[in-house]
Amino acid sequence: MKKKAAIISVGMTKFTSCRRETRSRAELAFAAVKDALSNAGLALKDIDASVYTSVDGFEATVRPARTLEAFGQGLNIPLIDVNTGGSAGGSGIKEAVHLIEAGIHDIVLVYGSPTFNSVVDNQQVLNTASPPIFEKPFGIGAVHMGAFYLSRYMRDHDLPEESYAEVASKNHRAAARNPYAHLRKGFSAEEVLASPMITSPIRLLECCPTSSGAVAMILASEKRAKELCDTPVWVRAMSSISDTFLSGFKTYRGFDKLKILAQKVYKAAGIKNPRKEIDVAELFNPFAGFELLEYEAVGFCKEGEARRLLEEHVTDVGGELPVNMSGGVVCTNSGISASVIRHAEVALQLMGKAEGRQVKSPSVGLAHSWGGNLGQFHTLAVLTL
Amino acid sequence: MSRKVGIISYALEGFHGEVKMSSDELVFTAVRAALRKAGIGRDSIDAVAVSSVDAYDGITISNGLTAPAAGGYEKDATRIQGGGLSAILSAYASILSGSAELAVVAGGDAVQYDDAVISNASYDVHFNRGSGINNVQSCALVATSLLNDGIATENDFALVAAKNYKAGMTNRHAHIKSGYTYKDVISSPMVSWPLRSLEIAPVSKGAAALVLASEKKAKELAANPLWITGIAGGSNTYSGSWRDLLEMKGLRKAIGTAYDMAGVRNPIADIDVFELYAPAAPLELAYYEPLGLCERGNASTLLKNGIKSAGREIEVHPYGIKVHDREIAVNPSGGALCNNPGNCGGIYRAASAMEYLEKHDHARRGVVQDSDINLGFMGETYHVMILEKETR
Repeated sequence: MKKKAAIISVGMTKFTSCRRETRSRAELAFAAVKDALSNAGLALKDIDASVYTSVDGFEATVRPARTLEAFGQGLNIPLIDVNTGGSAGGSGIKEAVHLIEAGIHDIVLVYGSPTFNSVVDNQQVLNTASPPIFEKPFGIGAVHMGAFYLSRYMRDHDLPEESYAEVASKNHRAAARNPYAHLRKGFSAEEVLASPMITSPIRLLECCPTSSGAVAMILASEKRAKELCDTPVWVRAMSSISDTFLSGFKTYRGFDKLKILAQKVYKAAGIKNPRKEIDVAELFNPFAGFELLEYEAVGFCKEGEARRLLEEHVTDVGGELPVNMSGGVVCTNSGISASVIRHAEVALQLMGKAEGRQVKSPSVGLAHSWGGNLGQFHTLAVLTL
Repeated sequence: MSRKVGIISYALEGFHGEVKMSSDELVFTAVRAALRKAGIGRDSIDAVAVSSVDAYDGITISNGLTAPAAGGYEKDATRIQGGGLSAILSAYASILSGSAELAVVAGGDAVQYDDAVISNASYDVHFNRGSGINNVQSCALVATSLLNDGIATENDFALVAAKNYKAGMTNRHAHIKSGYTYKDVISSPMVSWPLRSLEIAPVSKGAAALVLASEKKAKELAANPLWITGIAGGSNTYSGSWRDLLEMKGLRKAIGTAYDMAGVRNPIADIDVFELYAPAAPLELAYYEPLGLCERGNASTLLKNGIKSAGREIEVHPYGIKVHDREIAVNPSGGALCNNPGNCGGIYRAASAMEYLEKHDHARRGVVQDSDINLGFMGETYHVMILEKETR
């Protein structure tokens, strides 16, 4: 009989701009870990192992986890450092799940670092992730990577620019209800469309900000989860997928690798009709339009029908399948903590603790993370009550 | 769901001579060789765990380059930044959890870097980095503790280095095969007292790959798989570890947990080979006591009287008295002084232990010890793995 792992607690700081941040990296780590421990009724001595997730290059240091004292190093517990780019949060949670399902540990702490706090120019760092001979010299940064996918999608599906503005506004309005979110202005689609074009077709208000804040989660084995938590959120299935490194082999026609991953994860979770069976989702959208491509990749609708899902408010507040009720990555992108938060937000929704942004009685949720050069990596998790 | 995990294949690429491939080419070559040796193709594997540190690759998200090269295209792939053994733990957990039946663990080192600069960048920016502290200086602090506590002398440091260099001469994969003698080491230039240049590991280039399998798959695919019967980690605090560098509580935690898992009661009687990560020669002496090879304070005596290397008596010292009635090899590969790839070191050490166990009929059980101290002491993490020939 396969062992089970559950999320039993979430600890989060409020998010702000990197430029306005006054808390140190150590203070943020301490605050998030303390919050997660306190919410679980645990002390650091109860943790068997910690998983730290971040991307070194952006942290302006090497292996920053080593200098932070927040993860139980004083008690000499194992500390595992996971870095798979933007998807590192998902990869770290998957690592914790495997350690618990394997019976190696009972209680594992996962920490999502505020990756961007120390960096001067994110795009310059991200550019080093591009293939060095042919692509890096073009100066490719994150927004260009997003634009490849979104311009192709517009062309393939005759999508008007307004749809990207609508989905951006849906996220901005949701973030206004989330007390933890960074951008809480609730911009309308008109305001989004009036914002400057950054890299066609992506406008400023369709781009994520660089945020600061941290998140910690505690995962536990079945026995410990039932002892410690009234509403444990079970990780019913979780996996990741890798694409090629070189961009030339990619078609940018939707998130084709996420589609393969979703089929694999749904099969493991026994989900046959994701649109009907999933109640709430957090999909990784550093550029607002990504959400539409993700609806199709994770099977919420058929190819080319994402626009209709949006227009029918299926994924909005009060909809049949609310997506990114946190305001998504487009309103709060604190680096790797943003990919841990996708899971934390779904867990809070299922626990009924999503203050200000709670969806009515969800029992099955989907959490997604994305990262690497041109979105090379995805992780996907089905979480259930 | 598997109850046990075996390692069914390993392959090493590069290290000796001039390595001209990029890290993805190195990893691809090693992984393809390991898969061929296991008699399987890329399609058979379920998961890939890459070991690397972005700074050692000179780019960010460097697993983007190496994960597909390791067979990860359209597979479940992750990257752990530890030393190599932490990536083996990831694949081990993936298999035991039922998520994978066959997993590749790989890493590659191709970029020329200044290890002292990268190490310094891992220290706290406000209090320590400005002092210029780095991996060599922090290892020198450990060596100084060994001297202060009367555990070893500068001569012992040179002796243990010479022991490793001698073993490295016959390791076909070793980067340094020069066989430096005690005299060479003790007369090499002082770098950071009390460490001499020949007591400090080089920066090596190459790749290492392993194939891990569930119990069922391992029995199907390999005549003699090596079973992972213990594997565990531990960490030290950043600030707290200044107090007593020889305490190595994180290492003790990893050793204790791994020994318990494998049922190792008396390491002197139970273990045949150790592959230890000592990027500065004196560290090997600091590990003997936590590993259970001697009492605290007796590392020097053990080195001079009891340790054998690669199955031969050590000839670097005139005494050569045997205290144990059985042969225990410590770093028969020549250790980190003869080969020190920053990304794949722990995988290389696991492969070295496997090679020793394969070649020596009498040897049944090996210990692989790994850490991220290539980045320096303070806040370091450790991992320990026990490999065994047959089911317990």
